[in-house]
Amino acid sequence: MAKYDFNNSVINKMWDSIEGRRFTSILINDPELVFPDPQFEYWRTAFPVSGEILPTTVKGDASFTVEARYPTHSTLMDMRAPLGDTRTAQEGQIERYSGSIAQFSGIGFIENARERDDRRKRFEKYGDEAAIIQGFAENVLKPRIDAVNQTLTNMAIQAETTGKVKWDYGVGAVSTIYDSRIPEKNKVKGGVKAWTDPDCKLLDQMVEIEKRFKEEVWGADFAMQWKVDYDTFHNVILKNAQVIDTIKTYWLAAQGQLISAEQKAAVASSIVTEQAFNTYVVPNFEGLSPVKVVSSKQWDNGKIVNPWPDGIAVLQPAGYSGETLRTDLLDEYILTEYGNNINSYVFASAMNGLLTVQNSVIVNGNLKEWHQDYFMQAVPVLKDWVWRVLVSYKEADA
Amino acid sequence: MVEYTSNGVFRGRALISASSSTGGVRDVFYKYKGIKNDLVEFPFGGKVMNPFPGVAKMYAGDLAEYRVNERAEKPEIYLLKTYEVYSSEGTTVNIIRSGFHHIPFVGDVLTVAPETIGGTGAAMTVVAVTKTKVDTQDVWALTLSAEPTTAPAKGDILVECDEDGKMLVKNINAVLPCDFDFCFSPAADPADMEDYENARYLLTPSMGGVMYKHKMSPMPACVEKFNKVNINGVFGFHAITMGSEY
Repeated sequence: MAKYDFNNSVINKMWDSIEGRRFTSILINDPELVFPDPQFEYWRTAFPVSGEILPTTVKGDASFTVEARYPTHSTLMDMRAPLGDTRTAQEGQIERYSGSIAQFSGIGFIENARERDDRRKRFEKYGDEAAIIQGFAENVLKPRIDAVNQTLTNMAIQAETTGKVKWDYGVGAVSTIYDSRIPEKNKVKGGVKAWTDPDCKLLDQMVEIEKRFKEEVWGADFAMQWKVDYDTFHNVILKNAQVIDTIKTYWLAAQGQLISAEQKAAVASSIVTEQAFNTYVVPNFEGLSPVKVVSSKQWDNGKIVNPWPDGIAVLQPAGYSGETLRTDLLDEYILTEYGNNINSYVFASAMNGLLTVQNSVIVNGNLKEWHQDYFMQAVPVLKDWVWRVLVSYKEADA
Repeated sequence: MVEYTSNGVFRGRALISASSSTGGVRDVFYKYKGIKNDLVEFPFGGKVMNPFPGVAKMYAGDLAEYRVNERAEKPEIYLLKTYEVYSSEGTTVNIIRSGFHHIPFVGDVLTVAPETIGGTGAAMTVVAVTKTKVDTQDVWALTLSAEPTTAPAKGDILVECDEDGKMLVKNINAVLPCDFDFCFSPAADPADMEDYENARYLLTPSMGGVMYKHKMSPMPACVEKFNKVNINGVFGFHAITMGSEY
């Protein structure tokens, strides 16, 4: 008898028909063990997970409908003579769109009996389960959790910057998923000058766009925020003369220094950073909403992909953009209800119920084979599409 | 618009009437004892590239193509829809109508099944579909846009093709393990990645199956060549035939 019993190890227990669900959940949900890459977790800040599970109908769809109502504007009154009738106007315009929840799978894990015996022998020889678990968490669990975050972030950015979500990444099926149809009037150009023009009064133009939509287009005032990708922020906004001047001005003011052209010229340009923008520009430039910089790139089969369209800045209501909706997993139902007695299937849930891990022990010839599969059936659903402005900043107004 | 999600108000009287019958269960799968390995799913499943244009049904035991690229990636599903000719005259082709036959639609482009799968025949475009009866046989009377050069004969099997007559399904490697009802209006072209309206169907077929031939949808000769079962009246294959399967 070996000193350490592999059969009682956590790794082995993940496939256990009774305790597997619990052990898998503990492992995969332990943020100290599996530390997801924060750069891929942007979706959480914009599309929190809905507490409700949208059921899949027997017709195969898990569809949702989102409605948005335009405010009905008031107007100045009409002067009238006694007995004159009144006029009527259009009221209560509602926009809506429907879509369905799509389903995704991560990279599967497979270990045949002899590979498992190799693992077992190493375990019994060294008896250090912590190292084995850490290795499993880093090599197997973390990339799969990151994959879920990347997928949701990719879709979240597609929704936020285009109003549409489709999937042509990965190697599985490709399909369109939904189009919220952002109103054409919400798609505008950068203003008097293209934002990439060094002489562009960028901050004035941003404020002008906000003001125009609040006052003239919507007739509604609420807290807004800008969202730009990393490249736009660093290569366009932080390179803009007005932005640099504003940062230096308020930096000098904060230091109690005299503000003059000479003084500004003497300030090193290295102080022009994302943090300086948030500290010195946003609170001081009247009418400008906060700017959020989104890390928008993901990995797809060894290639960097960026769903953020080139030259687009987004102006949207402050707060969440929508919700991540999820549905049930047919695999879990079918295999739990009708799975044969030879193979065994254990399902565990992770990431607020977004990710289902399927641990299975399958027959392969005379031996067993251990599989772990990762499924997600969720999409970020855009809810503020009628209040979302897409600025094509490389173009100037005609 | 996807029918399930349409909504609206009609302040009048809508008289709705429809009838249907479920023709009982037809056990298409050949019954034999022993360890079977048919119900094995393909990786990913795939998007159905030729869904029915309206509400229709594929049956358990129907065949399909799981088409992937040379790296076994980006799967697409092509359903093998088959139509059995009862008679034809001029621009009219009558195909058998029963609870166990695929339903034709206006706009379908069909050909008499070529000799080899994926081969070429004469394309016929359906411009009208009428429910009728010829002799005592329930049929769908298809009106074609033009009279075919060779009239389809009784017993011929029509399959879907492109405008040049090339058969849509190019390989048979998948079996539908159960009935699939297509309940929604599908996207005009499921491959169009700019069209977001209407429905797209994704399904995962099985890698194999053993079926009673006479209980399956009518099968053209070019598909029968895929049979790996050596029993008269039985059709079966497995997409992974490396030894033990068949």
